[in-house]
Amino acid sequence: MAGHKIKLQSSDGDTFDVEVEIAKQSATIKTMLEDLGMDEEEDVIPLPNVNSAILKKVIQWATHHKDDPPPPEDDENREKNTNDISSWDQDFLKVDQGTLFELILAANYLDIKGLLDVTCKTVANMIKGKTPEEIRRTFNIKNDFTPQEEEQIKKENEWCEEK
Amino acid sequence: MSAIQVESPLTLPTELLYLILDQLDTNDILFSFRNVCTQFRAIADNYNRYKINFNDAMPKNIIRRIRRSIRLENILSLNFSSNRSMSNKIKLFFPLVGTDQLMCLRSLNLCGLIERDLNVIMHHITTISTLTSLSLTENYRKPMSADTIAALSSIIAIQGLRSLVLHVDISTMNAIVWPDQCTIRQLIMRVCTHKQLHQILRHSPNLQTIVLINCNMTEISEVAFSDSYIELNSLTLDSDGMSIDQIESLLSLLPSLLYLKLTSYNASLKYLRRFSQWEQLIRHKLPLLKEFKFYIHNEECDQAIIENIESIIGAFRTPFWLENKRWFVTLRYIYDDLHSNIILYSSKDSCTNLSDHSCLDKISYVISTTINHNAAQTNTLWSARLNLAKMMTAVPFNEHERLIYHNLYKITQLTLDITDKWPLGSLEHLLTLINLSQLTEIHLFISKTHVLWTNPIHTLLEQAFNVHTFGISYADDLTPRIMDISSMVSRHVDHLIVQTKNIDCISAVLDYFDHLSSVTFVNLHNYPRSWTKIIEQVNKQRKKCSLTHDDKFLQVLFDKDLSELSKIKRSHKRIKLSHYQQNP
Repeated sequence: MAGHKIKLQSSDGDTFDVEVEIAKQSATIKTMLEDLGMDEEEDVIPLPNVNSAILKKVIQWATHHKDDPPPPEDDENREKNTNDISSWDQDFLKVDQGTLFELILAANYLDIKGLLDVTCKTVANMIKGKTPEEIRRTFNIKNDFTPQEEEQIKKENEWCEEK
Repeated sequence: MSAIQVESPLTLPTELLYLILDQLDTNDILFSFRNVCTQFRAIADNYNRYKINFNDAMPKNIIRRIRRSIRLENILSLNFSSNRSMSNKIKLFFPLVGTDQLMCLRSLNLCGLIERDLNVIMHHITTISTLTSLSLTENYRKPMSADTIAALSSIIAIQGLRSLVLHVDISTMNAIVWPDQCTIRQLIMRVCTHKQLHQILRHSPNLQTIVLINCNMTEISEVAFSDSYIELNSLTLDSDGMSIDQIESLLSLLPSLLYLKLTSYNASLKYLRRFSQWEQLIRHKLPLLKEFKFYIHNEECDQAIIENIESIIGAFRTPFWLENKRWFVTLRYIYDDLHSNIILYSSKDSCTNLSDHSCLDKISYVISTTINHNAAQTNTLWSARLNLAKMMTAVPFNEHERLIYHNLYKITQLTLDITDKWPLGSLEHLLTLINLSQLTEIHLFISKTHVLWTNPIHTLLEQAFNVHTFGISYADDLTPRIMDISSMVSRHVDHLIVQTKNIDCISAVLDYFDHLSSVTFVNLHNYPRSWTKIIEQVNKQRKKCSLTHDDKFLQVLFDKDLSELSKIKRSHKRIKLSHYQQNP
């Protein structure tokens, strides 16, 4: 029914009224609604893996994309293209890294393919074309290779440079 | 507190890191990601969805490195693309590879390779039973050898092959031995004859989707289509090589079609007329058809067609098209001294779209079917785009032009191209052709700066008192003119479209147009640009508004009832912007 709403409850207890059609972009919620026959406005769907701040962002994304066509099926042959992120999504994903990773987890848990794609592409763009050291700096990762392993990596590179 | 705290990609589950790696090139994974830390190295070593692209630009040392770093069973896809010899590179990769080690290879893409290279790769692949997808684009300079075609036939016969793309010439197609029980589900072909199509359909019981780019049916074989092919549910057909009888004959054997896309860039009048009677064909022969897209172009348009233009679109105004199927149709009629064309195409919804043609045309009409719940009105929406200077050069009209311009009295949406100074007497002439009171939209494309705001435009807007949408595209910066424009645009106009991304212009619009329900700013550039700064500016100037944007537009909806806003937002996003997106 158009405009019909359900309540989503975050891990920290906040509830959000969301139109069913928007919420159903999440395959997880869609399945819950269908399997459990939850169609009353009073019914609350608990989402123990998503906190309020992230759930709010997810709802914002799903609301903006509610009229989008369904995402295409996975196709192994499809060219990788991380440059096709819409300007709205780019602005939406200008968040700190913690939020970005939590959005990935939430999109995966809620099974929202479009959001999972765009968040993964955003992280991929943070890696693309960078050296290992630049990636370490970007994500604050410690280089934990032993000197022997470092030597091995160096050798691999040298060996490959040989004609 | 979050249920799960994630501050670093190191703490993401492996399957999610794999999804990120899916978006990266092999080089980024192997030479950067893999060398960041021990955990990333282990992930890269176990990642089993490597897609490796061999092309001219790939140095040999990279191939060596790939060979050392990736276990072959972790390769999912191999792409070879070159129109020069790749023999040395192929030797570097294949000789050490027992093809049995490529035990996860699912996809092979071969593009433009010379015969010798193609032959080597094909023979390596014939034994790989995991292959599900093959795409082959032939190097047309030299025909494929019989031996290579035999290898190709063997690959097509692999049990488990699901997707096949064949961009090969007709002689190669003829030489392929199609297996008795082909397992493909999706087939894309560049060329195909009547006989081949028949053979493929007969021997591919699982085939669900066909995309046929160039169907050559001029040589009709003695083998006639007879059986129904009930598995096929999706057909994309460029039908230029087929008659309308052949198309109807083919479709009548595909009762399970859910999706049909039909194009013809050189359709005859007979084709056009018969096509407009397809309601019965679809009802009886394609009962399951859900999605129907078409694009039919006719260049033989004569006076009789112009006189009966409404009868063509009228056939698509029945309850079957509008209510049962909700398939909307647009007919575009373009007239210039050299061209007189009709294009009939499926429109996504009941929107009009005047953007796909140049403003150099004298006049073009767009006639669209639409749902109209008001029984007193027809389900047809007439729009016209008119080049004023060209129209005036034709005055007085000859009989042919008189017929063409006569239809202007039906329009509700008018777009004017003003490419030179405002032509003398053109307004007066326009007023004899157009019923201004029935216009609901006016759009101006002004490419000369000195004619921006002149009395004729003022008069036009003043007399078109039912216009609710006004759009303007101007060759120069509009900012100094916004005050003048606002004073002349009627209070009845509640939606404004301005082609600009100049923040000063946007700011001026927000200052001077205070009665609007919404305003849309259109960005002409074809690449995505952030609207962030402009959004900040809008929020600063107008507290009570909501915004939506995409790469091409930013729409500001001013404080109104929310449900109404939602309706405006949807319709404006769909309808109004099409005018602007492809203009110079």
